[in-house]
Amino acid sequence: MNLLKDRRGVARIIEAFLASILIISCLYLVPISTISKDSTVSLASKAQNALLSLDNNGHLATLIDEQNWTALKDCVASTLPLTSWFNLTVFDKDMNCINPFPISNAGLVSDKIVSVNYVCASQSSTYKIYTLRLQLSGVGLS
Amino acid sequence: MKKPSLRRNNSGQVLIVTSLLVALLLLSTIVFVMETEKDVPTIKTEETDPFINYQQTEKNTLISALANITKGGNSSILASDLETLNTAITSDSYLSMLQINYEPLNATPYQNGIWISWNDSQGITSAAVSFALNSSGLYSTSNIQYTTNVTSEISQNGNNTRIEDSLRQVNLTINLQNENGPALAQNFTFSFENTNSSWVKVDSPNITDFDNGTYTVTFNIETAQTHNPIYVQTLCQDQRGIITGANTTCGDVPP
Repeated sequence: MNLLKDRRGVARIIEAFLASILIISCLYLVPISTISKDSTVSLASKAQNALLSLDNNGHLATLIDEQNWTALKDCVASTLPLTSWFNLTVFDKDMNCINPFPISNAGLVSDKIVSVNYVCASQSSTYKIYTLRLQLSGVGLS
Repeated sequence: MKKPSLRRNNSGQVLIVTSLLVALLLLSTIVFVMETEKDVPTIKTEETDPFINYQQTEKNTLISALANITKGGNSSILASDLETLNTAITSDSYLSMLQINYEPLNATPYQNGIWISWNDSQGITSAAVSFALNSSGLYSTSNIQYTTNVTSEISQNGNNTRIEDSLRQVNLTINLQNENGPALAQNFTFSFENTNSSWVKVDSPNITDFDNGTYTVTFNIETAQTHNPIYVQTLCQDQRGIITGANTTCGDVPP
């Protein structure tokens, strides 16, 4: 009989549940992470665009022909955001790595890495073909 | 007045605290599941255009072949380079089955994808190849057909002025275009036809670059030739390494 008469506890329980639902709803509205679901695809597009823009007038293959790895690193770095990390590997047509040292900047900044392959042909009269593998990662890139 | 029972009130407090603890447990479970989901490796399909990578590479291949042919190479180099490119691209395609069909243009004036026409006042060096690319992936199939054309073209005209008996000044105006757009030259070579029908290379021509594909050239030649006009041959190498030639008949104008 006492339990039926005393409604105060039940009301507080309902109140507490409503409060917790409110808190959970608020947490859902706040973005947990700034990295969107398609961030890897965006990173892949960034990597691809960087290589395409460098290869626009055959500049990419010219640098590789000249084995000017420092200039190649600077060019790739200039086309990517400052907060990004990259590692470029150059292969010949038989997929042998031809860059003698890693073409990379700084240290890895994120655990999300995309890898893009790009086939690059030389414009010089001695035809050469290279496969470039650009690994890209970055903080806040989307 | 009846004194309120503390014991009865406390049972309500315990229920409230318990419900909050349950809510927190649920909340932490949700957050844990969400955080765990983020670390699960997932396979994502590339949403980028699978063909856009190859168009520049195909163009570079045609440029390389033209540079080779105009430096004295065999015209069969184009087919050889295209086959090398085909092998490289198809072996590089991991996300989809890629098939490339190419056909060097054989419609007049092209022959096996190459057209070289170095005539009076105009020279054309060109390559054209039709490509058909087909990509079959897990989620989509796409295909595209297009023709890639690489053309280097010069047009020129000129005249000559007699300075002394055997000394003449030749003036040329040259216009260079790549794919019908103004282009810059890497270097020029000029020769003129001597009296014994041999070609003599001009040593130090004075070249003015207008930065819009137009060049004016002036040079002096010593020739025993008394009749007009003077025949001049120009070889122009554009910045891509493709050489285009043209002959010009430079008529005599009064000084």
